[in-house]
Amino acid sequence: MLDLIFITVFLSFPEFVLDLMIGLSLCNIKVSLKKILLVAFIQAFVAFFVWKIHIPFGLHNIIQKLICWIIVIIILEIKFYKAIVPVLIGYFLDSIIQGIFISSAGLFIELDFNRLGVEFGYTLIYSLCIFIILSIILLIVKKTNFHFCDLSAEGEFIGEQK
Amino acid sequence: MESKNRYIILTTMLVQVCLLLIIDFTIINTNSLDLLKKSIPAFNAVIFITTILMLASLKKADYFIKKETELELLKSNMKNTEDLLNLLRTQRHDYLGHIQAIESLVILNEYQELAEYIKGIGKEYRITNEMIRLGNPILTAIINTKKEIAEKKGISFHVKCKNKVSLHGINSWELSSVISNLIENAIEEAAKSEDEKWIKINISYTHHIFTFNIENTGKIDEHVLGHIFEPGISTKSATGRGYGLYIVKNIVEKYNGTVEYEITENGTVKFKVVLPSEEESYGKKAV
Repeated sequence: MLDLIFITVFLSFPEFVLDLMIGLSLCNIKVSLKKILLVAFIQAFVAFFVWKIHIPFGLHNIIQKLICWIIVIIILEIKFYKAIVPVLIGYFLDSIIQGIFISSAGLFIELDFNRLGVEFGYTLIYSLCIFIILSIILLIVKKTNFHFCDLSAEGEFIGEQK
Repeated sequence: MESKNRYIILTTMLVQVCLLLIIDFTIINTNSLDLLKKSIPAFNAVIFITTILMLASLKKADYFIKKETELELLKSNMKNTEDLLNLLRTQRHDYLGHIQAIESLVILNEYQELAEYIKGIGKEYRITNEMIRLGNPILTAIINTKKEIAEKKGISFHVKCKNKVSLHGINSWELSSVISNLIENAIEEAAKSEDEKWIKINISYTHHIFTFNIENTGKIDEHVLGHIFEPGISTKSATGRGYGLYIVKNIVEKYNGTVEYEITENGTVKFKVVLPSEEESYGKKAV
């Protein structure tokens, strides 16, 4: 088993940062990078303990996202019914990309999902690819200023694109 | 609460998708089929719950689409009223100027000049004098504004109303929606007519019941006949159209009234709205 601390610091933490940045950007919520880093850091810390106590796969995702929601409410000071949206959008995009990546990469190489988190090289390449794709998405979202919905204090209308 | 509902819809949909993704990853990650089989009841429960949530979300979304259409109509009606008020304000300002001019001509004993001046004013304000008054401010505003719009499009606009329209129990914005929608449709259809272009509105009152007959020289497309009061049915292809008559029907029925249409012998289209004038006659929904 790979070192959990290594995974948390070098793989999960950047992924959480990107998830949050994409989720918040798509909801037109502007937050300082410091706060996002703090939320991602706490979330990575929580993820570390969730993995440590061996919660069944699937359930750990739900627990992590619930905790992330609470952290976002507290640190980013967003109303509870608004805070859930960027968290879920971030997770949704991340999962979709991972799902597409696994299925499409599986066409070219022998890909075994269970080897993730076990073999160092395997995990690193996988995480790096996901990191690059998420970064490109973030860049596109920022450049085009596209909003899936406007949850800023001024905007109340869902489905609006500015 | 209205805006929170939007978040509930959005969150529900996102939760559903995320749950399905979690299930997806759990399947990918599992090593044995036994575990997967044991998980089937849980998956079924999740699918069942998410389906119910999805249906509830769709119902809510549909409700908001209707509300948004209603809001657009109200905005348009408010604009009509505002336009009429602006017209009256402008004319009041003009009147003051004319009174001052008349006063000066009287002081100067220029009676010949005064007579010509008054004749000129009379011509200019003939249209204002022809303003239709129906005893109901919102109806007066709508009908006069629509009359102006129709006449600009070359459509003759005739109104016949013998009684004051007093429908106090009906919300003014709902009454406005009903009449406005019907007249707007009449204008659009009459404008398409190649021969005569006219709209006739007849408002009558008998036995505590108001009847509004709105007739025009337009046509109703055959493919919408029989479905005209259903949501989303329109002769126009534009998105978001086709809710006007659906809203009219809903409002009228809310007040225990009826709305129907007929194609007359002359080929004109006539919409008939019947509304009780007394609050006691209204349905429970209206209270």
